[in-house]
Amino acid sequence: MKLFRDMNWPSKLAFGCIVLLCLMAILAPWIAPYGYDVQDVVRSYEAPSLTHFFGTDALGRDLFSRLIYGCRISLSIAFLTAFTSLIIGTIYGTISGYVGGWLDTVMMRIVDILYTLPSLIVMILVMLIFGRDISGIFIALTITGWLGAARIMRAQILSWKNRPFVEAAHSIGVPHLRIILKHLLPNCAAPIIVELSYQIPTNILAEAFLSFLGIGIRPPTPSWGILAEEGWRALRIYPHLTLFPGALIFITMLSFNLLGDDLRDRMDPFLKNKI
Amino acid sequence: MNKTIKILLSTVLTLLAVSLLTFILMKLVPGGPFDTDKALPQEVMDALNKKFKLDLPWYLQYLDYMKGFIQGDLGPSIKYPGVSVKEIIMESFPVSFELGVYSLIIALVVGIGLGILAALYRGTALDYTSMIIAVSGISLPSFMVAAIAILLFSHTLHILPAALWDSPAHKIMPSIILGLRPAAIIARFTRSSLLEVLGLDFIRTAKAKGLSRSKIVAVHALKNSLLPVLTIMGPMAAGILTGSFIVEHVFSVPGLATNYIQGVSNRDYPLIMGVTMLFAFVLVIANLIVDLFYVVLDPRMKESS
Repeated sequence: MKLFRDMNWPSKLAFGCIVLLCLMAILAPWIAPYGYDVQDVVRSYEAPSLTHFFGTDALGRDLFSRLIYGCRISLSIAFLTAFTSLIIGTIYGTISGYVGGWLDTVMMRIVDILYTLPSLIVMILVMLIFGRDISGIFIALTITGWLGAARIMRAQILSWKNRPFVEAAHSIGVPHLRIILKHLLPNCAAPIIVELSYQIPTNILAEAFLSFLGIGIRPPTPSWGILAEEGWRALRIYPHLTLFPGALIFITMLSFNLLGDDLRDRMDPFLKNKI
Repeated sequence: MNKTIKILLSTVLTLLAVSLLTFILMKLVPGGPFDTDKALPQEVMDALNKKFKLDLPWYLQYLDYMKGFIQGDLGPSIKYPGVSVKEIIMESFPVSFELGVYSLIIALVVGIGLGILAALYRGTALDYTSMIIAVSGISLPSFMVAAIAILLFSHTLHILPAALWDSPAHKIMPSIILGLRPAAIIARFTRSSLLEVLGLDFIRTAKAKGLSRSKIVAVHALKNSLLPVLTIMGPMAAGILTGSFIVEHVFSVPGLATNYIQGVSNRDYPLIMGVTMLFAFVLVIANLIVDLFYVVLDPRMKESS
């Protein structure tokens, strides 16, 4: 609660937006006036009106409803992959930093090499291997997403593992696992939470990019990226079909970025110089 | 000398690992280059597979590819008969390179400029405006900017073409849109870095000496504050590369990313490999250049590394 009270007003607003978006995702079937795949070909390409707040698409589907359902898909992909890749990265980085020696060298070398692979290229290939559905995009984003967390975690562990209080714990025979869980991880939490707040918008954008390139999850599942891509085909005549999904992605990314900046500034003054 | 060999060796090893990883991933993708709506007769398939050596086990294919790669032969394109991957890359790389360089210049000029302004006028409306622009630039998906730009400049005002890459007019929108996100990142970075340097002791000394504000910033603070900005230039190159996928797609720019996506959807294996290797190579080189600059600009780095 204290965390919320100390926020500056942009991040309070951002936090509000995120809560609203989450509620929208959870309550989608009750909020959306129409189903996401209800077609009404007679009413195709309708301009925004009172019956269809954001207009309709080529098949007469209600864009407002589809955006609400898209919120569900896009946010759950972003949250799920961000959490999973952070957990993987944290475990990997902790082992690498804590054990040290040649294992550390080898493990970090692997991370360096994976960093050299352009992430979008890996995502595209992985997406095609595992299929263009939710599980495919989940694997694609996780495989590329854990590297940053692994590096941060290793650096954190390295800077904490030789401090006197850890040495003291060693000297009285505390087992390694307990030292990691009780003494090291709590001290390394701040930068990881900050990383999480940046990983979520990165994933939202990546999902939108993949869908936009025609390699994302398949329609009719309406993710925001899919909606923007579908709209793009009719950009000149019906720009609202691209602009509404785009604006929603923008607001979401902005909220997460503002919140992330604020978290970073307050939780970890040493990280201020990161992007 | 010793260090040069070490760097060279690690570069070669990295590229080798990248090639192997990409090859494995690429071969794992279901489907093949000869999958068409109407199935080809088995004999034709066998002959085609034999011609492109696709009947061999994957590791032999990899070795065969690498043998050619070392000799500068990137193999034939499977989808476009008679055209080599090298020719495709020679044609599209200059386009992507040009686009990347323009957007990098835009990103550096706009980013550093905004960052300096924000830092010098810290806490004023100018600072807030610059930083709102920057955080928006990071949050705006590039297709959204592209949509607005195309609607405004091509569709309504008719002053800029909406697609392709011919005249200078074609190059304005893609370059700016690709440079937007990097510019925003650089602006935020420059601001925080400059503010940090401005708080250091030697700046106080310079002030005490009676130097003018502009001289302090231009001569003393800027050089030191741009060093950390340099460190993100490596990842930035990667970011521009990623962004180029969307920008090339949206503006139908005939660059590497466009060819890569086509290669992937056609399962044109040599084309996928060729473009990926080139991307990885560019990224490795970008990081090397950054390291090099760093040592030149900050002599302290020489001893520590």
